[in-house]
Amino acid sequence: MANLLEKFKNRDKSLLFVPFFVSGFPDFDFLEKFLFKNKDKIDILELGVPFSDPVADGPILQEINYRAMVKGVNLNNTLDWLLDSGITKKIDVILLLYFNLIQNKLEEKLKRFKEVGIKGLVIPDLPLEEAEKLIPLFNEHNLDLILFISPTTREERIRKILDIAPSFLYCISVKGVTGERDRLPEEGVAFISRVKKETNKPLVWGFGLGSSYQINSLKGLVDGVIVGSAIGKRLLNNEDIQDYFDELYKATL
Amino acid sequence: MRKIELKNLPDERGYFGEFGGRFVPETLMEPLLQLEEAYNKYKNDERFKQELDYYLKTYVGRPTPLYFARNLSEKLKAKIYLKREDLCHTGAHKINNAIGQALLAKYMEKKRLIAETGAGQHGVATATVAALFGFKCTVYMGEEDCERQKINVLRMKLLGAEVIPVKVGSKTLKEAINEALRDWVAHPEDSYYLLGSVVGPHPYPVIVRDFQKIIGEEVKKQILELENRLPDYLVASVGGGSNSIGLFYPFLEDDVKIIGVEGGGKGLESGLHSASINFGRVGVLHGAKMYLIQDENGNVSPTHSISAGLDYPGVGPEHSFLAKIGRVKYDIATDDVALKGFLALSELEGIIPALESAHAIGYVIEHRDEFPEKEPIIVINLSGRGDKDLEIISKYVGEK
Repeated sequence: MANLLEKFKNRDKSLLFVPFFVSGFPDFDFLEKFLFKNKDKIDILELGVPFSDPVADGPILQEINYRAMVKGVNLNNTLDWLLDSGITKKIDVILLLYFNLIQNKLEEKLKRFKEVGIKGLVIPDLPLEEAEKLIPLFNEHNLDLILFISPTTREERIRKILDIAPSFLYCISVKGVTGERDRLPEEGVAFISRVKKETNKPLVWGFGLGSSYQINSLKGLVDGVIVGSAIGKRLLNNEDIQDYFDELYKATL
Repeated sequence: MRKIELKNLPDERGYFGEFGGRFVPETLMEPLLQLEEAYNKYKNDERFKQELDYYLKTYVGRPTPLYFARNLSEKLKAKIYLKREDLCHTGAHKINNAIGQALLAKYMEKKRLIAETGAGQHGVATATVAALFGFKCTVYMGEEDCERQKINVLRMKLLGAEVIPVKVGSKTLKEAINEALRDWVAHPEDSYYLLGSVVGPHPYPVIVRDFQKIIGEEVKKQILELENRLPDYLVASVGGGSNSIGLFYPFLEDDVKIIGVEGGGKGLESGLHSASINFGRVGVLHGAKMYLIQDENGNVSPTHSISAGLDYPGVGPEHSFLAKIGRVKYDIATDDVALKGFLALSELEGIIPALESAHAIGYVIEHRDEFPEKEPIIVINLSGRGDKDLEIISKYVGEK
């Protein structure tokens, strides 16, 4: 059964807070300390595994992927770190990775994910047609495969995705790649309002978020928010992110 | 020889056996579906076909000749024919596909073309058709390739295209494709992504192949007229694989031996090559499952070829399939062998070939002993001319 659906249904706050970090950036130690310190604020941690060609990502996450990759961060040492640190015992973790990182020896890898305590996977280059072949296998290993919908997705596809999605829906709010935007895109709001009428499955807003104001204005529309590039940008600039993180968290209450 | 049911490939999800498919962000699914629908609608549309035919004849300069290379033939004791794609407008086979897709974009009422380019030939072809049909045009090109192919950058700019150097990663074709995909994700409504090789998500490998198969169709007619029989061998270089699939495709069900030549770079032991079929393993990049040069973690590895046009870590899914079933033999030619081919053709025939095609020529010279027939008929695809590569050649010859 899906790992994360209940968590959305039984929540006692307006929005689940899903911060996104790239594994091993700026380094494993920093990340470990930060995550443990903030474990009660993080409803779900989305952890990106660095990849050489992250085509769905904008410049910030591209740069972070690259820096982490050249430092030697990969899927194996990410999993070792998660297991050794015990993060997955304290925080619900989903991994974001591009399909090439797992397509070889897929079953072996899914088994390992479960052993490490991963709850689910986000695979940005795995659309419905490819995902539906794999969902039974993911179910077998008790891992949620999180599917995307976007403002460009046509009606019959949206219905099919809503039907087969084993977990919450990752709603891409803009036509474009990841990255903080100044304003909430109207097309995203209109799109998600429409989808909301068609499903009981939780909807999580991804792409473009960077401020507590934006998060506040999504209350009642979605069930959770993902913030990635905006945090990444501050990490890239060596800023202390604690106050900013607290502000985002408070906005989800 | 194993018979292949070509009409069934790819399947409706874009698979050639286990290769191909559509591995893209959800945002791109709709533009890909629209593209597939438009292509299926117009490929058999009489007006579309006539217009394409008109431009291929009067603008591109088709049919291109099949030239009997007498001096090279005498030297090799074989009958060598060169398919002269270097005589196409803009100097390479890339224009066949660019004209076809630009027409498709026009029929789809798009306003802007996005393209990626490695050696610059596809970028030049796209900038050319953008000028011809009045599209805005943005071409992504790796910074390193911009440096290697300055003349082509200038040509694109003269043709009115915006050339954006890509400064991340390996700064070559792979990154240029990433950027073009990102641009398309952000502008799916008004922009048409004019992909230049038989790679990428379905339906691109089919579309590009269909617009390039005219090369092989013409060769078939021409060789029957000249020799009254089909050739013994077809040889072409393989980067992404568009010039080679264009030559090979119409012959796949015939009794003709086919060889694709990958960029062997500085030699396989050096690790500096772009031989995806010979030294890659199955992977997923830029929307398709194919042979891919990658490390043990699944990250795409750096590649090298003296020819920017072959410097790509993957290869088209149809080639991957043809390699797997053994219909086409894929071998390699190193930078040195390509250089030999380059010099030989220049000196013997007065034709300066593109470095891509020089791989195929060098391969035939180097491996003549492995063609057992007494006087085999060998057709080599001369996919482009070498003007663009003179700067590289001057450096390389200087280093020797």
